[in-house]
Amino acid sequence: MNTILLVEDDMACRTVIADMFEFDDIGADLVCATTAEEALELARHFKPVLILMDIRLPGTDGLEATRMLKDDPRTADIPVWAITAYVLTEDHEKALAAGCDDYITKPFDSIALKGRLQEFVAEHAAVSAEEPAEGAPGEAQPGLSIREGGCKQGPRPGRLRRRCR
Amino acid sequence: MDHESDETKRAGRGGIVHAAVATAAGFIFLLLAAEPWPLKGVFAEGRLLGWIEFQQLALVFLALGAGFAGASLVRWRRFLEERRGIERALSGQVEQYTTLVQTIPDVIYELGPDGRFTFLSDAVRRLGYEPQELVGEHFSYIVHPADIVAVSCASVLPKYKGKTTGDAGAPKLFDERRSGDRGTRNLEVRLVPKDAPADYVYGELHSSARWGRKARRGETGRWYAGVHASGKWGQPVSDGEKQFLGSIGIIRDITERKRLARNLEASHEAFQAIVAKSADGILIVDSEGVVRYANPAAETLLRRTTSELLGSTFGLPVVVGNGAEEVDVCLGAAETGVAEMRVVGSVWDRKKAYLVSLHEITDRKQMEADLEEAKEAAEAANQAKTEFLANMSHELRTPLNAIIGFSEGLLQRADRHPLNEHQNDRIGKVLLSGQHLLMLINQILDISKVEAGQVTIHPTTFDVYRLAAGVQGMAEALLRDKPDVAFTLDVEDDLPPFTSDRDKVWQILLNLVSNALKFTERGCVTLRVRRDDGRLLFSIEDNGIGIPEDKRTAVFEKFEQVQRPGGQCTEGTGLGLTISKSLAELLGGSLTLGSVQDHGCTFTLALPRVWDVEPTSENETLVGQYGCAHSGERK
Repeated sequence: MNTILLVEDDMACRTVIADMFEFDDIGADLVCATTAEEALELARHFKPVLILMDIRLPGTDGLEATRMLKDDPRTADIPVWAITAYVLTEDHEKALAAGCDDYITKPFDSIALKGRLQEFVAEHAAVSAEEPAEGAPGEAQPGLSIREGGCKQGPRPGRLRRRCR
Repeated sequence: MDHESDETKRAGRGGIVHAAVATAAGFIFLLLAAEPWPLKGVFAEGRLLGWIEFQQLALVFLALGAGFAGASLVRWRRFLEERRGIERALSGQVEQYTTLVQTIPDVIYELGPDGRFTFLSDAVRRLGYEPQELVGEHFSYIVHPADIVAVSCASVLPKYKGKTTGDAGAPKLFDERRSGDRGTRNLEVRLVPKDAPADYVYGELHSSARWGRKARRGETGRWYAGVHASGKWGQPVSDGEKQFLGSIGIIRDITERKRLARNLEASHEAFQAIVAKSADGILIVDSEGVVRYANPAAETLLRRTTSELLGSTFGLPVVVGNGAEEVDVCLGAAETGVAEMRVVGSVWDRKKAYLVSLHEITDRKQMEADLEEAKEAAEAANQAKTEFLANMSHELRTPLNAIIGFSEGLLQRADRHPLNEHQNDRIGKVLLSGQHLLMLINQILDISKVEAGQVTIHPTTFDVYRLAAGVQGMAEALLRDKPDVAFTLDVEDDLPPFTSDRDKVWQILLNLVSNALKFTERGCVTLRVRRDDGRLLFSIEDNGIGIPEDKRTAVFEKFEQVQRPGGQCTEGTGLGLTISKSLAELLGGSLTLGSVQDHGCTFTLALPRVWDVEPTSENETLVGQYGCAHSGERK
């Protein structure tokens, strides 16, 4: 099962996205972090296929976290989508400069976001199917379980559920 | 008459005497030789002493007489020739001097002892007189009446004690003095031209009195006295012989000189007045830095009196420069101020000096500083406002994300997690309210950015048909709840790709179309696109409630909304049209309204067709700037 990491300090926003993973068929597990430091740790641990990054975080902000992720060879290849309530053009530019691959403004259109996440996971699964991930040959073709596994909450659902809510 | 001609004359006379004596002797001898000789007894047979024949003697003396006569004639003739030559030479000289006198542009005149003209050179024609008509007139005839006294003897000669009037009551003139320097120099007098009696020209008189022997009867020669340039009496003449003969002089036309002098004086006075009245302080500083002149404004500026300023040291390096230099100046004892100093080279008392003009700019400097401060404060305030709005937007969006996200989620998942009718309705209302709040936040941000000049235009080249189709799609989505309203597209054929900021055009059209749909309950909303003389016109027509005449301008103002019939207030922020109009102007176009009350209205967006602008990129996503299309509203 693919993992998507959500970095978000606002509980309500976290829940909105966690609801999508819980009720709509995204096809990936969700891991949540509330600070930049936690995000780096979880990113290295879970090797998520995608990181959804809030920009304003307590302490180190999302832009700095993105830069650190992109600087770390272990996490540099993971796409980062900024999801933020900063809407000005210069904010957008700053995020792209920090290394974000996409920029989604709050409040997001949940139907559109859900669609994009589903699309991303499907594309990723297709790419992974062609090039089986190294060191995990036995878990090949995770794409088969995308739709059915939508509701699954990952290896330790209890912990994640606590974190995300 | 020279010496040689005298000799010739004397020799001529002597010759004639000799000739007469010789001829007389000849005739005597002829008489003695005549027969019958009455004195035959004394002189036998006509001979003297018997051997000299008288006849022969007579012949000899006659011949001698003829010879003397001939020689005398020759000499006389030579004398006459010489004399003729001298006369010719003299008359040539006279002609030369006459020509000279007539050629000199100054009037040369001669006055008789009674002060009347006896001669005038042709130069007097410049006054309009013929020389002949003035001869015999008194000198004062051509003098300006007011100046007659000035040229009279009494005025010019302070020590003159004689009679002040001459013959026939005419005033005695300036040059009738008897002793010392008989010349008069540089006497200025106004002369009256013949053809313009009211006018006058300035003349300058130079004259010399003539004294000497009066010509005796029969004496044709004239003896001028004092014709020398110095005008001094050159030869000693006993008092008994001295007699005033008149004077000779010149009149020089100095009108032009006077005029120039007058102009110079006038301009000098004018400049003095200008300097005195100048608002700038003007000082003349000599090469040692000492103030030699200060105008009243300089006193005011430097808070010192002229007497304090004059002779004081200016105290600033004075260098001739091209432009103004800002200098600190002492205003009185304590204060200092700022002045603009300009320095030009000048002359004072025939020595090099500087003309220094000081223009006080203390107040202006202060104002400039205040203005700069105010500007910085305004910029800071503006920046603070923008930051506040950005922060406010962020703070409002975060909870709004949850409100919209949860309500959307609940409504979407109603199939799996059903809601009852009441919950469904209320959550739908929560979603709508959230979306309205979002729209408000977006538009307030928009308008503040437009007002702060922070909106930048990114031109792209795009297909107008696709844009129109996008508008239609959006309109149809909005028309789901309005079965009685139709949306039609009317786009001109063969429109080339259009260059402008597509996102902004999209935003404007969306706003206009949603406005039109909102105010139309029954009928049709049309988007027309037409080419028009270098512009592209987007017209949105509806047949809704229209806008009253007196509200046409107001609709473009902030927070203005047209009341629906029945006083029902429309939803919306009242900012959409303000933003649209500002954006249209930013794009180089205009947004105008044509409307007929009760017959709907037409908003026309006219954009310049700038085909040659290099577009930055082709952006295909028709998404509003904040990731969410603005819904329009009528204000």
